[in-house]
Amino acid sequence: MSKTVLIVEDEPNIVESLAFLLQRDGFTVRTISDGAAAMAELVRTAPDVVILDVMLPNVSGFDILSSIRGHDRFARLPVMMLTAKGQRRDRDRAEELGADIFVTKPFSNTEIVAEVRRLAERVA
Amino acid sequence: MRGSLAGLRIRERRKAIGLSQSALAQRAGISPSYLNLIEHNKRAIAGRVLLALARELDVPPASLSQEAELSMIAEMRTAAAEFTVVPAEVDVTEEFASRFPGWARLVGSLHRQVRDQRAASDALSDRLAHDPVLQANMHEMLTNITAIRSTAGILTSLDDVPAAQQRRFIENIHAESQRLSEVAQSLTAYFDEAASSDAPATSPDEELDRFLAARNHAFPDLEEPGPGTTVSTIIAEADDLAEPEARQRAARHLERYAADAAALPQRTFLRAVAETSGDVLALAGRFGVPLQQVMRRLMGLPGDAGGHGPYGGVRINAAGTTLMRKTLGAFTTPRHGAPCALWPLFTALAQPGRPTAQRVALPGGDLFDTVAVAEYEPRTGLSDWPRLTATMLVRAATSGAEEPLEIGTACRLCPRPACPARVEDPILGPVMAAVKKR
Repeated sequence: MSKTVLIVEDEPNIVESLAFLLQRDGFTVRTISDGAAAMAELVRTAPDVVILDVMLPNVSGFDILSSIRGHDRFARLPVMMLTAKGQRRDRDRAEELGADIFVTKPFSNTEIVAEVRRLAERVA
Repeated sequence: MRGSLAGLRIRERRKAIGLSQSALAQRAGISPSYLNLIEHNKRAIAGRVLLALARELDVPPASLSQEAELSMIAEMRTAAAEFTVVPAEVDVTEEFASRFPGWARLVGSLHRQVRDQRAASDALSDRLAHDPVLQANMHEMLTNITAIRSTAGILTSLDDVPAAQQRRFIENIHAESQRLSEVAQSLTAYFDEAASSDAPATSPDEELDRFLAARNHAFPDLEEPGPGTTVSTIIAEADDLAEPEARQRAARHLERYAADAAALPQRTFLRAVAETSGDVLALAGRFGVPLQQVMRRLMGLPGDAGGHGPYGGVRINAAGTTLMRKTLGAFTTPRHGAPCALWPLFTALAQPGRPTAQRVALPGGDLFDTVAVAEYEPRTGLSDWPRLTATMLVRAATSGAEEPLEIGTACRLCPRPACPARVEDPILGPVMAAVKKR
């Protein structure tokens, strides 16, 4: 059975290329663009990996990450954070809140796919 | 009482006017022993005693006031502490300040200026890092670039993308690149606005620049000779000319403008521009006037100069100092420092009387057609040293496939990495090393 990736990102063209790449690599992909609805979607789809953008409408990626880590079920869910800001303090904050990996935009396709695969393998 | 110079100054002044300690004490209404303590900096003075001593010594009370002195000494000490590269004789600061108060004030004031300018530049770089408009635009650009890079990456590296999906990806790239160019345009507009904001002009040059730019270099009131508006009334009514020197320069500029308008009346000139398609040489030949006069007239034409303009340009003297500038779109001249050495303007300066026409490309890709010439200014007498000035007229390139000369605005603003004429690194990162390696 294929593993599921949930992409939380508001930029449709980035979502489209990421979804295409991951589906091609055998993942089931779910996407959501609204930060406020992200937690409900997470509970519904119970993904194996989450790709989470920092700058989202309504609720920031950092807030969603702390909700994820505050939830018993998702305490160890692999999370990749995406941001257009490559600033040190964003990276530190993501690490502090428990992100597994932090990728800055613009990213390379091969890097993203390889990292998602690596994170998915950690899930038993 | 550390830090006071008043005592020393009182003693020196008293001796200079030939008064004994007791005589001065008596006149000022204090005891001689108290004055002795004051003169040896063991008592501070203020208020009534300060005023009485200042009156008897015939010096301004402020010169005996310790507050000003103390702050001056503190300023000098801070300067010495901050600029340790040049070791100052800190232990004799008070004596120095007492003996050479003018120099001491100068040191203090220079130090204050350095500190204020540092604070201003810190504030500017802070703004660059935290400006919300810049941040939002940078974020938007990175997002567009990410989408383009990722989508283009799929299209170039994978051969199994279904045709319909391929088409969608290409459309996405198109949409993203359009958005990217919009962001770039909005950034350019933002910087333009910042550059022309209400910050006070820092020099008469800048005041004149703004005065001319605000009127688009055209003065309709000077076009028709008659008893109407004169140069002096235009200057008198210009509330954007504050400095006397800026007013003088503006007056000189307008007098020349009026003379040009009389020699080349606007209606006749516009007709000739239409007939010659704005050919500078043909126009100068037809009217029998110097090329630079034709160029000045072209720059002052209203609107798009009958479809052949609009024109921008720059005029310099033989030392390369800018005498006048009119920006045109992406063609600007640097406000500080030297412009790009590749400008045809400088080639013209080396060959007076020989005009050159050259298409140029700015780093952003904007193409302009330029005509440049250097000419000697009219001499008023045989003993006059010949004065050479050069003007480069600029207008947007319209037709033709002429290979352009790649120029910039100034090295500090130019991203061209392999330019042989580069003399300093651009603000946004070093390229000098790369050039030297080549």
